[in-house]
Amino acid sequence: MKPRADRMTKLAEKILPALSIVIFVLVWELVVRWRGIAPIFLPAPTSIAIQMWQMIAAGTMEFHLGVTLLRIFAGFFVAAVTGIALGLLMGMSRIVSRVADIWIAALYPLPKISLIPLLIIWLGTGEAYRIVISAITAFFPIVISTYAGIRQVDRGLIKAAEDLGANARQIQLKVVIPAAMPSILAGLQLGMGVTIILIVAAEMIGGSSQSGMGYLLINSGQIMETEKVFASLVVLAVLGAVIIKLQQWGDRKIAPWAETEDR
Amino acid sequence: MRIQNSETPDRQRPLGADSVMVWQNLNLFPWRNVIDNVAFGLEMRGVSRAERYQQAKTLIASVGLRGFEHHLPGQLSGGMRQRVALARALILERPILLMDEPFAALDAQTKIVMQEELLKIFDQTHKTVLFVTHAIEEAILLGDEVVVMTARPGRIKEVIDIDLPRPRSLEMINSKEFGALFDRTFHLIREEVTAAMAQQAAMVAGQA
Repeated sequence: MKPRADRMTKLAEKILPALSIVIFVLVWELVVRWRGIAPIFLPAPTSIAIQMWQMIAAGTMEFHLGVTLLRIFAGFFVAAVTGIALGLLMGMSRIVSRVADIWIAALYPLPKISLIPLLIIWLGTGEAYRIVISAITAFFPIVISTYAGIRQVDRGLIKAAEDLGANARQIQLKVVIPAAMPSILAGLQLGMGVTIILIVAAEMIGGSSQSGMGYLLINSGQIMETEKVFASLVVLAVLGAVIIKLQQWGDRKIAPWAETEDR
Repeated sequence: MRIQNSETPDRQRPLGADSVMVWQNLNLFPWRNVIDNVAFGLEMRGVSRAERYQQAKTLIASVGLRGFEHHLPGQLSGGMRQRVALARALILERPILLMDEPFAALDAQTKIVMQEELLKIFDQTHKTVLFVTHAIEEAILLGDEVVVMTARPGRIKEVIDIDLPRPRSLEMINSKEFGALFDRTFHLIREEVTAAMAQQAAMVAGQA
C-alpha cells in the first residue's frame, strides 16, 4: 500500500468509530423533531441529555450508579477469588479436576437466572441475593478459563524449568501460573461481563431494593419516564465500556507478552 | 569428567546435574524479560536478586545483547532469542552443554554468526558440548568428534575425529582437510539415508 493511502486508512480507523456515533445521534434527533414523535415513546437525544444532567445535578444518578458499581465489584471479587482458586486446584490436582468437572458440566449450562426464585426464598431480596447470583454466574467462566490456561501450559517450558533446576513448587509458581495468566485474565473479562448483566438484572427483579441502575431503569419505565430510561441506559453502556476498557488496559500491563508472542 | 548416564538423557526425567540443555524451540519464558530469563536458574537456586542480575548482565554482554536486558523474548529476533537461550544455559556453569539442533530455525546469515559465537564461547569456557545437527558443515566446523548415527534404530555408526586446529574459523570450510572430512561424513550419512528409504519403501509395500 502507498504510504499516503496507508495514512488515510489509519486516520479513518481512528475517526470513523466516533463519527458513526455522532451521525447516529444526529439522525435520531432530526427524525424525532421532524416527525414530532412523542417524548414518552422516543425522546430526542437533547432531552435525554438534559434529563441526564438534571439527574446528575440532583445526585440521583451518582447514587444509583455507585450502588450498582459496589455490587458489581463485590460479586466479581467473590467470583474471581473462588473461581481462580478452584481453577488452580483443578490444574494442580487430578482428583480435584475429576470431581469438579462433573459439577461444572452439570451447572455451567444451567441459565443462572433460573436460580433467582430459589435464591430469593433462601436469601430474601437483599444485597446477599444480588451478589450471590452474579458471583455464581461469573464463577464458571473464570474457573473454566483458569483450568484451561493451566492445562495448556507449554510442556517445553516446564521441561526447561526442570532442567534449569526448578523444583515442583517453583515450577507451579514461576512457570505454570504466569504461563496461564493470559487465559486467567480472559476468564476475568468474561466474568466481569456477566457480573454487570446479572447485577442489573437482579436489581430489576429484586423489587424490594430501592437503589441501583436496574431499579432506576425498571422504576422509570413503570412510570413512563422514557427520558430517564434512556439516560440510565446511556450511563450503563458507558459504565460497561469503561470497565471493559480498563480491564483490557490492565491485562496489557499484567501480561504484555500475550500480544508480543508470535505463535 | 563424570557422566551419569552413558545413553542420551531421558527427556521425561530431570536432566543430569552436570548438564544443561539448549532446546531446539528455545523454550524461553515469554513473560520474563531477557535478564530474568537468563537469571532463572540462579533464581531457582535462591541467589539474591542483586547477585544474579550482576552475573546475568555479564553473560548478556558476552553474548552481545547489552542494552536488551529488559526486552521480552517476543520483541527479539530469532538470533537474539538464541543468544538469550545460550546465556540462560551458560549461567549455571554446568560442565556439559546439550544442544538439540539449536540453529536449525535460523536464517543462513544468523546461523553463521551464531556458529562463530558458539566457537568463541567454547574457546573461552571449554565446556563439553553435545550438539545435535543435520548440517554436516556445522558438525565438522564446531566439533572435535562427529558421531554419525544410524537411521532407526538410532545407534552410533561411526565416530570421526576432527583434527582441524583451534580456534576454528569459517574460512576452514574451504580447506582440503575440511573437504575430506565432509566427504567421509557425507558418504556415511548417504548410506543411512538410502537404507532408511529402502526400509520405508519395504514398509509401504508390506502394508499395501
